[in-house]
Amino acid sequence: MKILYKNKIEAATLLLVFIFSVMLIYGAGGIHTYGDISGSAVAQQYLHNGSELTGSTNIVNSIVWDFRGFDTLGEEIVFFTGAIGVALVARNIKKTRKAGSGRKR
Amino acid sequence: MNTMDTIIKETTKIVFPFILVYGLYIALHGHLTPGGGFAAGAIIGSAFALLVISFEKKDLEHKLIIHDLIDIKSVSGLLMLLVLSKLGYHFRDALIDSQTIFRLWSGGFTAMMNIAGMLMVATAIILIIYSLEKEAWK
Repeated sequence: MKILYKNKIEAATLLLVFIFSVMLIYGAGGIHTYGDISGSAVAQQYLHNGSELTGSTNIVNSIVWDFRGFDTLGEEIVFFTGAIGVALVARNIKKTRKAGSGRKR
Repeated sequence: MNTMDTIIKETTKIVFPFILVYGLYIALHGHLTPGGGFAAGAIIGSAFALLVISFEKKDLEHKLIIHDLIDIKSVSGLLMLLVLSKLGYHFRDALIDSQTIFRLWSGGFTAMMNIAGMLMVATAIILIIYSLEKEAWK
């Protein structure tokens, strides 16, 4: 019998990918059509009462910064951590290069 | 090393404050018109990128030091955003009930979060640009 895959890991990976793709395709059937909010209570709440609840008429901004503010806070923290990482890595390149190796300040 | 044209330098001198004001406008009107904190921070950061690209270090009047930026300013922006997002929910209702909609100060909590996010994104982008450009200036 011909061996199709080199080891068991590849076969297991392929099986997992197949299973998850089947689950995704099955789950995608349950998504509402574009613009239809009749099935989602959260979307109805956002769109019908959003301007009164938050006081902002830009509904996207009210969702991003008010209803899901903590999500945005996490985004900002990730962004800020990336910026601090870039600054910490890039600020001492010349000194380290002059010293040869190691970290010197 | 970095010698840009006179056209670019003079245009940057004229355009730079207007870009800053435009970014502030985007942040303050974020709850009324399209835009918001992220877009405003990106606009202000791009203004500083234009400044850094077109001028040399000795031509710039301000002296941004990366150590100070890491220590005080940007971390205080992060803390301001944290405090606002935690405390804002408590006086959110009182802010919103006292305002009329479609006015500039109508979006109580959203406007504060827009301004805080603008500070946050702008400091992060300026931090990246200056820390990368400092190597080119040496």
